[in-house]
Amino acid sequence: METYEHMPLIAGVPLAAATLQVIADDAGVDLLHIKGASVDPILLQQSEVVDPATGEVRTKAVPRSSVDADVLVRPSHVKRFFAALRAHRWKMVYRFEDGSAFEHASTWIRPGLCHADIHRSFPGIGRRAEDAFDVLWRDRHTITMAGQECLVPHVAAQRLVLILHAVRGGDLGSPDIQRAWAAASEAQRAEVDALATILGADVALAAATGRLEEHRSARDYLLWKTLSTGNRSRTTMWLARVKAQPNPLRAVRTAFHLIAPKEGRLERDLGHRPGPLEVARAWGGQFGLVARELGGLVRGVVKR
Amino acid sequence: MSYRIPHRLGWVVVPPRGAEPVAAYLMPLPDGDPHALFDTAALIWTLAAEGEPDVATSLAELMEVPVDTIRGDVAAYLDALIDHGYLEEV
Repeated sequence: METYEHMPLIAGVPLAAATLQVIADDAGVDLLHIKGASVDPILLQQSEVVDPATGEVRTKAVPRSSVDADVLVRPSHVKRFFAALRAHRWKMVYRFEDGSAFEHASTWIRPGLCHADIHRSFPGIGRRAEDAFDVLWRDRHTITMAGQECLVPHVAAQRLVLILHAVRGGDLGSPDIQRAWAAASEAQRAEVDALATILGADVALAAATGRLEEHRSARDYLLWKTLSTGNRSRTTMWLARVKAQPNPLRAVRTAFHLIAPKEGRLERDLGHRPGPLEVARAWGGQFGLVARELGGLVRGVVKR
Repeated sequence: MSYRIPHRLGWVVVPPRGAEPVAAYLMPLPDGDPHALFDTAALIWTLAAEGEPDVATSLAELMEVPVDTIRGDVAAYLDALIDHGYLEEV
């Protein structure tokens, strides 16, 4: 019985999820498991299997092929949760600020397990993160992962999360949108719509479900149009994200974040803490990138 | 004698697929290291974890071998699993 260092994901993901739940329970932290191994079986791909003994054909849910454990933590509990993780062999590799422009998730690793993405908010949900968590927490229920009781949001919320995740990646043909929305009943869709309204996720949901033009006047219309159409121009994305911010301060912060080199990623790439010269070089690289993108935009306008 | 899974043990049993044998991945939560049991070892843990009172007999039936040829080894292995905290006696 020796330590096993190369855990297959089918075991490593639920074990990581169960570990996070136990640590959260002990630290009095509220968290919900999202995506990955925690998704309700009715939202998974179904495959037909034939019983070799009886010849009977049954449908079976196919586990999602996830590479990490995703949890959404009550924002006001994040600091406490991070302290608890550090006390239990977990190490942060990316801060919130090192991740996406939404600054929504921080990545952690632990020997022997797959990594964990700790979310403090979810892109597409516009309501204040603590209030949004309250809404999701209210209708939570328990599932079992790796033999441990783990908390997940209501199935309607799971549908919404899968849809928002897919549309952010510009994947409107995603099987997740197909199963969570296209294959849903009218009542199930109404439930998701109602939840999206409460959470301020109407625009992102509309972008995923062919109704974005109903939200042309929304502040984040351009953002979700850009994301949902898979437009990868950094400049277009930059403008869309800045425009989507609710106030000038947030807009300035977002604008800065989008062009600033990410220190955590720089450190991982270099293998050491970046020095002033390396940071300066990274800034130079970012400005060069933006200049090239702007040039491309201008040339596109001239051609029209 | 019956066994049960300790309260704070994380566990995942992966059924055999193709040439890959049945596997049981076990981890004392939250700080332990993950361990893997394969094939017969995984079967012994799984039978015991399901509350099977006579693990040796059940395993012998599954493997189609005389129970007397494996009873001693199964008992020793169950003791080792308890020592490592992967099973508890009920």
